[in-house]
Order: sequence, then structure tokens, then C-alpha cells
Amino acid sequence: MRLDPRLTQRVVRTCLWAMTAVTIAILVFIIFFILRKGLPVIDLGFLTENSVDMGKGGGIFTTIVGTVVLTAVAILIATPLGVGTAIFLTEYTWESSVTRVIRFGAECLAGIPSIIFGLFGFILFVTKLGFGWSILSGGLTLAFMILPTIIRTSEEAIKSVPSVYRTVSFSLGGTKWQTVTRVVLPSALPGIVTGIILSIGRSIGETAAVIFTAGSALRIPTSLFSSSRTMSVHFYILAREGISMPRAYGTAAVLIIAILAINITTYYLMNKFIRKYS
Amino acid sequence: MSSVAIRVDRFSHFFGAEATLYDLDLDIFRNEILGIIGPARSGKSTFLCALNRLNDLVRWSRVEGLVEIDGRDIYGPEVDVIELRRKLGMVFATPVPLPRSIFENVAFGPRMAGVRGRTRLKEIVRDCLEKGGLWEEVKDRLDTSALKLSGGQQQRLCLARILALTPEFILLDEPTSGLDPISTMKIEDSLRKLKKDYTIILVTNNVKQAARIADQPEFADIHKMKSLYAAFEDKSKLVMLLTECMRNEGCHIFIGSEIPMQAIQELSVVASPYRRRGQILGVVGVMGPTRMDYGRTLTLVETTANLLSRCLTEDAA
Repeated sequence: MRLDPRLTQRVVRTCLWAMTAVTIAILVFIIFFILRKGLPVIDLGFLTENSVDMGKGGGIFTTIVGTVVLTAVAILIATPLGVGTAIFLTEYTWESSVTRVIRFGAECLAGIPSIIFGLFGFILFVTKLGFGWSILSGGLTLAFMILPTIIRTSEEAIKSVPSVYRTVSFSLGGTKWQTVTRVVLPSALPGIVTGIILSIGRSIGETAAVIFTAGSALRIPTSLFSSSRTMSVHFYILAREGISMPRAYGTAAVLIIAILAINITTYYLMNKFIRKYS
Repeated sequence: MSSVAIRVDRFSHFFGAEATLYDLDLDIFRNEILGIIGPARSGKSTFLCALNRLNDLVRWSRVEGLVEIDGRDIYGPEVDVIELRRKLGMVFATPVPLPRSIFENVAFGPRMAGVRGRTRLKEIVRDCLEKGGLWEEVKDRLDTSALKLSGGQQQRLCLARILALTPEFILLDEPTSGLDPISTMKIEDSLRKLKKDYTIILVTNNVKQAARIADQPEFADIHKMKSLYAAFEDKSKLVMLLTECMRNEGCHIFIGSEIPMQAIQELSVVASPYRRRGQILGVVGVMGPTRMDYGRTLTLVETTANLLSRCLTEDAA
């Protein structure tokens, strides 16, 4: 028996609608749940005071600082490396077996569980190189973890810049580097920044790799070699050790809000940039 | 005048194993307008890109033979490719404004060449936009995005953009193929004004366009209008057609680098090395035994081209 195409159409439409609805519902539920549990704990003191008694009391200021610094170090290391690699792979070499191997390697790297990165960072940076549990160890580990994402997204962004722009730039007497900096990168920037935002989100939320390499000291870091606790690690410890569930949810809520805020601000700035350039 | 600016000698270009231009001989004179006519994929654009070495950007691209500009081999080891490309400004078939403001598009070349200073750049931009015939339309919105211009305006912007390089040659790759008649007319107007200062190489499939651009009385000298023709498999047909033209119009037809071909035998000898499909065949120049009037010559060129294209269509069918 053949189905009436119009009926199929209606069924498919309903199914697809339902799938979308479920996805969004789950997302909204998680955010709503965390915020409902967490928001009551959050006040000015929670954000600006140091923790008291292993996190039972006081605020989460140290962990906010720890998160920001660690993420900043990771991004500052990974962005030039990743974007540089992407530029090299797309603009300075022809596609060959070597570039394919590099790309495949980067993709494999992206699939490795973060705890493995944590272990690697622990062995290499913390013990072998003697950085100890520190911002530097944690930042380097996170940088390696997000590097594949940045390479991949930057590469895609650079590849999507129409090749005629390059031709035009060269035909107007541009060198390769001028073409890259004045034509390719401005056009690819939205894509590159998207990759960086994704990476920031991943770094902020990362727990396993950080706990192994940056430690969990509840002090304001004073140098790259001080140990530091990020919000996600703080959340993990509070919940795992049963120190204070409300404060754990509070931390989680701050995390979520921070990531949302970063995304929204960057997209706003990006739109402004795109409007200026096109 | 009539000094050779570009000399192409036994020049071939390959993508991998495939020849895109084969054994091409051609002289281009200073301040002439050279029209290149030919069907798609016959190597017209490749020829332009061989002159300013844009082909270097394509993988597996390889050349043989000689291209000399002002007596210097442009594929020689000591050639500054950047300098070379500034000398040969190129306008592409589809207008490609960079995603920047109108001002920045024109200032792009000078900026990359190291010109600094807003006042200096402003002068250049104004001057070039005026020459490109766009100034009046955009003078109040130089800082708006070039992507917001219409197709015709974008193409004139591209023309202005290469003028800012102060080139000696202008390479035009079917510059009006995607434009409406009015935009086409405006571009042609600009080109007509430009031709006294530049050597122009125009790829077009529109013989009338080639004629229109070169219709100024002071350009009535026949040397200035040549047609490069392409893609002939069957040389006997070509020879027949050319002979017919010669007989009908009572003139000689030159093939190759200004070599007078008065006998069919000689003609076929010259034509034979080019017997490969999809390659530029040679230069079909036309010259009367006595100096003909310019209009007649153009008609002749046009007839030749029409006959040739009809012959091509028959080949295809």
C-alpha cells in the first residue's frame, strides 16, 4: 500500500517539529534547573568574597579569578599557534599527503578525552618540567586540548574566503602576507572567533584536565606558577565532597551565565565588525 | 608608437600534462588595443594570467617559451613578480570588489605599495574614480561598502582600482560579460578615454565591442586592432575562410607575429603547429594592400570572426 505523500509530509513535519521541541526543552530545563537552584545563593558577596572554610561559606571570587586567568593563558597560547597552523595549512602549502596527515592528527587530538590530556599535562608539565600544579601547567594543557578545535574552525573559516579575493589581492600587487593579513583574515575572522568562543567555553567548563594540572588551591594566584582552582573544579569538589550543595549550584549558575554572556557579547561585537566590512 | 611592448615567443602554458596555450607567437605594441576573441576554455584568460603571472598561484602550472615585457623575460629569475603585477592591472569577468569600503578598495593597491597619508590617498582615489567614470555616483558615499554597489558600478570600481596601481597595461577579461547594456556602455566609455595612455588587452566574445572601443579616428591605424583567434581543429576550414576573406575584401591577412601570408601554402604551414583543440591558434591580423578606411577594416575583422565562429558551431554540431 502506498502512503499518501501529503500524509507523509504531515507526519514527517510533526516528527521533526517534535525532535526540535524535545531538544530545546531539554536545554531549557537544564538551564532553568541550574538557575533556579543556583540563583538564590548568588549575591554581590558570593561573587566578590573569598571562600571560607573550604567553600562552606564565603564567595567564589578566587575561583572566578582562577577561571579567567587559566582560560586567558590557554587562549593566548592556543590562538596564535592554532591560527598560525591553519594559515600555513591553507595558504602556504598545497594540499598533499603531509597536510592530510597533519589534519588527521589534529582531528584525532580533538577526540581524545580531556582526562587523558590532564594525565599528559600532569606527567609532562607538572612533574617532568617541574612547573608543579600551576596556572602555567593548566593553561598549557588546556591550550593543547583546544588547539585542534581552533585549527579546524580557523581552517574552515579561511577556506571559505572566496579564492577570487586572493586573486584580486595578488593582481593588485599584494604579497602573500599582505593578502593573508588584509584580505583573508578579515573575511575569515567571524569563523575564527567562533572557534575561539567554542574553545573559551570548553576551557571554562573543563574539570578533569584542570584538576590534574592546575590543582585546586583556594587562593588568588600571584604568578603563573601558583596553583589555582577554577569554577568547574570548585563545583566538582563542593558537590563531590558534599561540602555545600547550594554553593555548588550557585557556582554552576555563575558558570552558565558567564558563558552565555561571553557568547552574546562576542556575537554582538562580531555583527558590528561584519557590518563594517561588508 | 609601434614599439613592441610585449613579445610572446613560442610560449606554451601547461596545467599538469594538459597544454592550455601552445606555441604561441605574438607581438603587442605599445598603446595598441589588442582584442582576443575565442570560445570558452580556449585559453584566453590563461593568456592574460600568463602575462601578469597570476597563473603562478595555480598548482601544477608550468610555462615554456618566452614572454618579454620591455625586453625583459618576465619568467626570468630576477623578476619582481609584485612589481610586474602592478604594471599589468587586470579586470576580471565578474566584478570582485573586496569586502571593504569604496575608498579602501581603490586605496588597496597604493596602500600595499606603501603609500601612506590620508590626503595623498584621497587624491589618488578621486583621480582614479574619475577616470573609471564612477566619481560622480559615489563621491558622497566613499565610506560605504563596495558590495552595496550595482554590478556595473562594481566593475567600474575594479577598473578604478587597477588605475590606482599606475599600470602600463590594462588586461580586461571579458569585463562586461555579466553586465547590462547601460553599464557596458559606461565601461566602454571609460576604456575609450583610457586607451591613449595605456596598452589594453581585451578579451571579449563581442567583436562589436572590440570595434566600439577602438573606434576613435586617431586609432584608425590598422596595426592597432588585431584579433587573436582560437580553437581551430580543422585548419583547411580556417584557411578556406581566410582565403575567402582575402578574396572578398582584397587584402592580406597576417597570421602569427605580423608575418605576411600571401599564399595559402604558407598559411597552412603556420597553422599546422596549432592543430590542437582548445588552444589559441595565432593572431589573425588584417591589413589592406592600401590603407583602407577604418570602418571597413572593422567590418572585415568582424566578418572573419563571424565566419570563424560559424565554422566552430558547425564543428560542434
